[in-house]
Amino acid sequence: MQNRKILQGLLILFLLSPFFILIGHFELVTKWDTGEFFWALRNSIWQGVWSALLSTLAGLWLAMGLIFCENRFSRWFNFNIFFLLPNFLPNLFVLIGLMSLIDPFPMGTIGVIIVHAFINVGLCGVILKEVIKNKLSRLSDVSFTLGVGHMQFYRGILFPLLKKDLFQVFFLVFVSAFSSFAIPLVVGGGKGINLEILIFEKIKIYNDWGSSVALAGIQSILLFGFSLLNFKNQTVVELNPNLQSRFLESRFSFYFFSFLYVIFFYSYFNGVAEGLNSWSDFELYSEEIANGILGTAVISIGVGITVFGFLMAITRLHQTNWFHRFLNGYTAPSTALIGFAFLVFGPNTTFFVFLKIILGLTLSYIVYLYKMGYGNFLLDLARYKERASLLGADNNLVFWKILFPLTYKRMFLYSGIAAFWATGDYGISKMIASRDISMALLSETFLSHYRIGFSSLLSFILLVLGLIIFLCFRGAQVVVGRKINY
Amino acid sequence: MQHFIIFIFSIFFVLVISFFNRQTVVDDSQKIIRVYGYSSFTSKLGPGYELKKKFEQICNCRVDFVEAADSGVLLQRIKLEGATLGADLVIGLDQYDLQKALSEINWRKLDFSQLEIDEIIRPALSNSYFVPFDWGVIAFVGRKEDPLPTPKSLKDLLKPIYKNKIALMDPRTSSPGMQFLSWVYDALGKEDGEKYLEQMMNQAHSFSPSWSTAYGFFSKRQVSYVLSYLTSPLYHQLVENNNSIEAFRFSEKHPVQFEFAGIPLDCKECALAEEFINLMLSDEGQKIIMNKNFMFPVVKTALQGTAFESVAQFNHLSQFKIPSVSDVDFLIKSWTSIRRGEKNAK
Repeated sequence: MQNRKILQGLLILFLLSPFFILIGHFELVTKWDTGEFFWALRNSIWQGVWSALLSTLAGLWLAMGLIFCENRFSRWFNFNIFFLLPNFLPNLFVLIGLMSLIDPFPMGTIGVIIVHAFINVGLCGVILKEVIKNKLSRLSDVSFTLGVGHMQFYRGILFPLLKKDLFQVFFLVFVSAFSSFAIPLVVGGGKGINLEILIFEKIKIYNDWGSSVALAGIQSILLFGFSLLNFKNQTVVELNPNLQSRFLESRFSFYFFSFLYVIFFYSYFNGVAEGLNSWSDFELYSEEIANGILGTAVISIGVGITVFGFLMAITRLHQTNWFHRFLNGYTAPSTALIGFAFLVFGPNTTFFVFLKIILGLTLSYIVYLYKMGYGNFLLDLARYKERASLLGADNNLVFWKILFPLTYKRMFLYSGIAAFWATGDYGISKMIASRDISMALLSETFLSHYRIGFSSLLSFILLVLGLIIFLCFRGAQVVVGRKINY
Repeated sequence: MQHFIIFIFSIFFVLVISFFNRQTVVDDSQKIIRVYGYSSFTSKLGPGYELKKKFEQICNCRVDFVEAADSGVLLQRIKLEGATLGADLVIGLDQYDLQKALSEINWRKLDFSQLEIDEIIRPALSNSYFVPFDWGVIAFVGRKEDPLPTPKSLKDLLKPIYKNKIALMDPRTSSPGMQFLSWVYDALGKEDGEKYLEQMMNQAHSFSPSWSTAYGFFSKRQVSYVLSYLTSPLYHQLVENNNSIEAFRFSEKHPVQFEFAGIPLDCKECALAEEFINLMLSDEGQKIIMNKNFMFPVVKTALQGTAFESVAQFNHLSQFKIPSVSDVDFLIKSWTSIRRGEKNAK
């Protein structure tokens, strides 16, 4: 018991480490401006709430489109990836794609909300599709058989049963929009200045690390406070593998979103095709590209494995107490602060640079993944742990024989997602690395040398690489699954 | 099961160790010169790679480039690593970074006053610690086939026909963005400059965090004009064989951006660092910098017989000055408050 508490403490210490490092490194004398803080806070909340609301509602509709698609076409292609892609593209390509879609594009707060919503709607749709399949598939079939009307089903069954999951998804987008940096900076205008930009201004304009760390801390505490509004859903999960209900699928949603995404990707793939014209650059920069691919693979697989290790540790140490509350509510500081904290801490030789990037990315992803559903999933498993303990199983046995077989699929899925995200990381890598060690950094360097086409091509290679690494994690999951079943 | 997971972890760590072994095969007998700069300079796309190769052939040493995200991180890095690992040379600071760099780090004195350079850029040599190695003229760039009339002044940009057609950069994160801000104040004065910027907030398409993002909008035809360099059209002409891009001459004198190199006082290979600067300022080095950075060389002879020569005749330039920390502070604070929609800069 004592060991568990110590390990839980160590894990939390790691998650809070950027704050401690920066507090230790800089003299934290702050010049506090309450008016400015509340103004930025208001903008953050405004952007967060509207982005999250739009993403969640559109995501719910997309989820129905995805269910339709799964019922009809899943044998040929997994469309989830298609809708998740905007999440992995560099901001510039997302903006250019959206500006082709919406012309003239509304700059300002509305623009920020649209970009956030577009980036997150796929993720919301995929998460909600899984939730709907798990919670409503049997009920929808029964309702259909009993002659329940559409609106009655939505009002009486769907929303009451899904409201906590919707809130969870809302909170997930809210957190990312609340602490977004690059998008409000480009399209936000004056009213786009949120807490994250204020933190950046404190560092850049006033060299005031004290205020920036204090603001980041307050931002984390506020998001923690918001998370306390959230609570777990106890709905029994009964999956119907042959879900066919008309209530839960929407043909129009699928075609509508597909149309939007096709137009969006048209401009992106146009850029990729332009990049093919500079094919000769491949030969010229083959060594850099090969090193970039290797570096990206090391970072990405490293992050995937470290996240897997952390998820195993969290699964083993998990308790429905302050530990869960902390993981569910805590939000990692911005990539700039994490990157800078890790840069000033310890040596910066090649090995440590990679190690710091991997740990920095793990730190920023792990709590996000926990909120993405892993935490609630662990809560559902508490009853098995309890029963096993009552029957006299020790912690080791409970973990390896009960928890691991039940959680390994999700652990591999989330590690794969983290690995996929890590392939496209630019923020933390740029801060810590002393050269272009990954494809994302290389892509940015090409962009700063007028080569936008080639940069698009590199970002496409990055997507493919991310997908391959993601599939490797899925492959490892299959092998582990066979071992467990054997 | 545990064994299988340990097996997967082990494979990864073997891969990682072999990756790092492959990267760190070095000759220990060689001296190492550590050069700090930005990726646009140090990468193979920039001039750094060729300069490094040339220098390593003659110095019996190894050049290690260390990149940083921006000048703030660069200076922090030098402070962190300078004393232990050594920072021998810093490349790529512009005139807005110099005073900050001087206030945070001690630098060696340099004397390159005998360099043969154009008189118009001689003021850039007036400081004792940093030497300029290239320069560029800030200008708006557009397409010849664009149906809109060519803008001829800063004030023209505020005309309704250009609304949402101009991509600018945020001066807090971008060096050309800072040049634009200074250009507005120099040309219009404080009061009119502020009014101009207030109007520009609703006029510009976007204020990107970097030049590359803004230029991306232009390349992808999201905007008609972008703040860039007088030499930008040359890239399209020489590399893409595309003559449709042009830079506009405005009635207000155009700002000039210099990039500087300096040697920190606690350098470990100070003599080598100075030799590296000499290479950068040689005719050969200057040509490499010009052709890779698409900026003008500071040494006159490097321009002769090149496509840059005719463009460099442009003499409608603002007087060069190195702004003080308080000047830079004023510009950024003023921008921040105007961007936030406050009327007067504090």
